[in-house]
Amino acid sequence: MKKGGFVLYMLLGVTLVVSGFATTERGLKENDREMLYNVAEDYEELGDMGFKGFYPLDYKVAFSDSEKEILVSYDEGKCNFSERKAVYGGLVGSIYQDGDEFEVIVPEYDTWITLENLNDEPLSVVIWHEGFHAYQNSYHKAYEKVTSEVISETDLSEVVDSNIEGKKLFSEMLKVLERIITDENYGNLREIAIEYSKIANERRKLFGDEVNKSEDYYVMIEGTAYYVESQAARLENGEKLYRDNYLGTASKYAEGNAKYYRLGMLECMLLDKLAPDWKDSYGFDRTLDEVIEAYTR
Amino acid sequence: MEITLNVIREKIRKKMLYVTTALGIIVVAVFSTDMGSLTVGGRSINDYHVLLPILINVLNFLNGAIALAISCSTIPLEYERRTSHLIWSRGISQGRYHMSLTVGNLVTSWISGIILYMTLGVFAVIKGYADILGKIAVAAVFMMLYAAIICMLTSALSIRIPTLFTGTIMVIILVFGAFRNALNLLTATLTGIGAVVIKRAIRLIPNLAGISTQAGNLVQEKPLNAHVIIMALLMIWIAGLLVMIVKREEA
Repeated sequence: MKKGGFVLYMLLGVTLVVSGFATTERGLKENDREMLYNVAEDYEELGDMGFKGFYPLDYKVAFSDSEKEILVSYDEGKCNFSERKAVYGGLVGSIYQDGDEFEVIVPEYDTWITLENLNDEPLSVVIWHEGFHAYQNSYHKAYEKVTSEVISETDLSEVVDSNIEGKKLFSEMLKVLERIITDENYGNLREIAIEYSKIANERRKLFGDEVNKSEDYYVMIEGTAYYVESQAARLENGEKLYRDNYLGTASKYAEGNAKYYRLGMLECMLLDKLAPDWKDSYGFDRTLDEVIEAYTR
Repeated sequence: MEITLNVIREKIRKKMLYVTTALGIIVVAVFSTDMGSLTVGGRSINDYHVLLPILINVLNFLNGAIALAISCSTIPLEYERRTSHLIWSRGISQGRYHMSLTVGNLVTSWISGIILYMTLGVFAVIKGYADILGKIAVAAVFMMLYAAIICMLTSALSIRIPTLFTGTIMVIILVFGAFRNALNLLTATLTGIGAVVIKRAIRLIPNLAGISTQAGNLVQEKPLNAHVIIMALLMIWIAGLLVMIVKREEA
């Protein structure tokens, strides 16, 4: 290449490098910002879903690339953000307590998008789910109200999933609740609630106090969050995907922790029909089973 | 120019473009007709407006593989045949010679890609989606970027590295680049020093998935990420520089 051509080529390279730096997204990425706008837009439609004082964007949201996080505080369309080292390593959707404040931690959109393509769960829906955990723990101090030791999800699964009778009864509980979402003529709601409570109580006899209380905890905490998530997903993805991804799988027994999510969501749906104002007086101080039983009396 | 044209003529003689045409028809037909149905998240996708970004990904990847196959042996073969000696005697520099051969590879890859996209266009018209022909034409520009990265990098590596190794390295780059989003997800689950090293290494792989995504965004009238496009151009620039400055000793 002649000298002039070489100089031109190098100049082109310098231009590309400078443009590359200039267009690098720093701070809060546009896709992540969009997720917060989606949540705010959903909220205009969904409101607090009956959980008094709940708004997911009341809590700071951290978008993590597993090394660093962009911590965003959303205020009526404005996003104020700062950067910090990731509080959790790996791919995490969770909450984090910083002093008295609870923050929502989610993966950044660029990481999440592959999962979204596989399971149709938008990142904004994850923010709803985790935002609800932040609400449970800050507004209702749900974790502080837990009086007994909660067994870890893995240890609990080992005990529960290996109990054949327990699995059978759990599946029956799911099937009873499934009627209210699959059968338009589901009959008398109170009778369904009584039948459900009967099986639930029979199952409790199979396990010790520690296991029962741990299961109650996960159904209450994760089940209600899954219920909130399902309503946000219904709005964002439409009725068909909501039916396929949430209602379609709700009555299936799943090893591990997922069954508590599903059971809790179905319990919330039963309560919505049984007593539409049940959330008004609910403060995460009673198990969902106790609330259902109270309405059957 | 003559060197470039010779490369193109030779590739056409070797019937590489027939393979491309056949592949294009098979792939687009499978997705477009009742022979196959694409289901994402339980939804059957047969609307071309929805299908197009997915097909763009598939066709770009296929054409990337073709670009790799086309470019892998061009330069080593020229040295093997001693054609290079005839060139030197005419006072053409190695850099210019390598670049002429690379441009030949590049144009052949583009012709192959255009055949694939034309097949897509024909099926779109047959299925009653003539309105998206313009979008397909614009998406083809991104195919050119995609193919150029693979073509230029393969040509640059093939100057000094044995063909088998060049092919292996480029297959890894093509696959990892095309599935970069999935790779990001996988590495996000890792922790520790090893994870930091792996994440840095992945950043060096061309973001081929990003290029296809931009083409998809364009056809769906979503905003483009200029950074991805600039980084693709920079990658082509670097590979081009390597093609010009890397010398072969036996020349």
